[in-house]
Amino acid sequence: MMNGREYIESLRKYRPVVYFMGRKIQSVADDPVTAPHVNAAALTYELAHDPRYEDVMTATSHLTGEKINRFTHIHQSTEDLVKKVRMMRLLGQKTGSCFQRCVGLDAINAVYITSYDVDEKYKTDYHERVREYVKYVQKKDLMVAGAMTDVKGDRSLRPHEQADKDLYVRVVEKREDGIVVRGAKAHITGAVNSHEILVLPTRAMSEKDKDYAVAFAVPVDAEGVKMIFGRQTNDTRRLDGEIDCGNAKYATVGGEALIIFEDVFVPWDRVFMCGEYDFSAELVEIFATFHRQNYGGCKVGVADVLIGAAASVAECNGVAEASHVVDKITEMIHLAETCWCCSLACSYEGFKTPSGAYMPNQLLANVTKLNITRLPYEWSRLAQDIAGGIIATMPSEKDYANPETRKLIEKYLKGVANVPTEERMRLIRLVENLSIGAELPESMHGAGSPQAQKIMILRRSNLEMKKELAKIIAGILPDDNYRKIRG
Amino acid sequence: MTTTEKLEVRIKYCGGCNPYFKRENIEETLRASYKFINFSFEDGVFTVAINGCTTSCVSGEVVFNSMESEERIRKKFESFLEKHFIKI
Repeated sequence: MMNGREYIESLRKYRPVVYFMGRKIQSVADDPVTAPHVNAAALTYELAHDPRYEDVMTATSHLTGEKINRFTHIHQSTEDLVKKVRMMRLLGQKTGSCFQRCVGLDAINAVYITSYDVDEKYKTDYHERVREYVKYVQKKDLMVAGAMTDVKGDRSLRPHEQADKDLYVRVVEKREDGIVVRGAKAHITGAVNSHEILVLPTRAMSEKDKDYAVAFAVPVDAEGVKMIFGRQTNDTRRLDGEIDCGNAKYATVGGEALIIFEDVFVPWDRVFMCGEYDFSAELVEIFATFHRQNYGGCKVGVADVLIGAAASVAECNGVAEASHVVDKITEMIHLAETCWCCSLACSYEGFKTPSGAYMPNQLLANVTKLNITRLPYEWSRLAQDIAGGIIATMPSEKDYANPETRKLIEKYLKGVANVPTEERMRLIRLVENLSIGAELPESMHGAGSPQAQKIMILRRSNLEMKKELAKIIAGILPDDNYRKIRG
Repeated sequence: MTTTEKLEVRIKYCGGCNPYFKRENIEETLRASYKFINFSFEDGVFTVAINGCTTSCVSGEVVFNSMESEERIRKKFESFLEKHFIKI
């Protein structure tokens, strides 16, 4: 297993093509825009070596029997699923950000399960290829970017109906030694600082969409792969200093990129689905279940940081004991722990798939994520309420550094006497970072937008049973139990 | 469908806290399809576990945990029977 420093060093050996704001990033490990995201991912490596955290951060490979980073593990029990979300919460707490590596973990587990099912039906050998690939990822302790969301073009049209056929990733050529793919994937978390990209289809496909039913893996610097790193609110504050970032060390959210595949060659041993369109929906559904499971872990870990920041700002302001502040802090904790309950529940209610790998309860995983599209908005609102309007009006770090204005800021932004002004400013910026920036839209749309979860929730619920229950209680249908006790 | 011996098969339901489908349909299909088998809730040479969701709280030699067509219920049950007990 690599540690944090070794991971950062390993990135310097790759040469991904990455653009940001009109320039090419030479080294994602060192560029000030991408480095904080690299640091967040590095903690997924570093904490695996810490005896205080290794119980959740590591696992034993069922493929090799070796100790591995849990981010490369195929879940072998419900206990594994529970430890996964415990790991998410831990890392959310330690980074106050997205540590990005869960997407690849979810992608390898999803493709592991689905490839088995595909082979059962079509007598293909995808599952063996996946097993070999997972072994490779485990041995090298690689970070894999899971890439699912296509750019989609006209959302009312299926992939093969699009005016531009490249708006979903597709196979443009099949060769003896592999396939050639073209298209783009959007919002891909951690892509620029991963070692590998694992591409999955994004939706259910019909027979005419066969060329789009493709899953494969390539190194981030494979020929023909280009990435454009996305903008975030306040991202260029990273170029101006430290305090104004709020979370200078680990940034905000994952650092997402648009990945373009310009006729990229993929050898057959890295192709995990190719034309089996009838399994595309299953793959998407399983990946989504894994990914939605996470959000009551990672977002709650980040919420722990925000709750701590809000409570600390209240202390700086001398209002920590005010009953309404105590009530709001308690409410934030309640909301966060509610989401935590969801992640634990879908994990404990997980089940074994035919492949032998375990996956979470699909209904409850979707409930977890739907809550995350709502509750973080409320706990962020409460944090803003407690912290005050200064989160949107505070003078900049540069004015604080300017000798002409520093003394004025020191004097007039002072809170309680025993807390330095700079400490108060840092906490206020952290509240701003966690409650205003990219964090909230990520809660809304990461792992799928709310409607996607609602579709799954309704599909996985038994509405007919609920109607029958109502009719029995209302006296419309016979009540066998009542008849037994009362005749 | 013929057989030379009569089997005792146990049916075990999960607790039914929040079933995603009507579990009783599986029992009804089995009872209607295999008149020569004595299905019981007490004893049997093997157990058919009927779970209301994928959590699969109860286990058995034949496990159901999702809504299945009658044909798939029979196929699953018969494949176990033929492998271990009787030729159908």
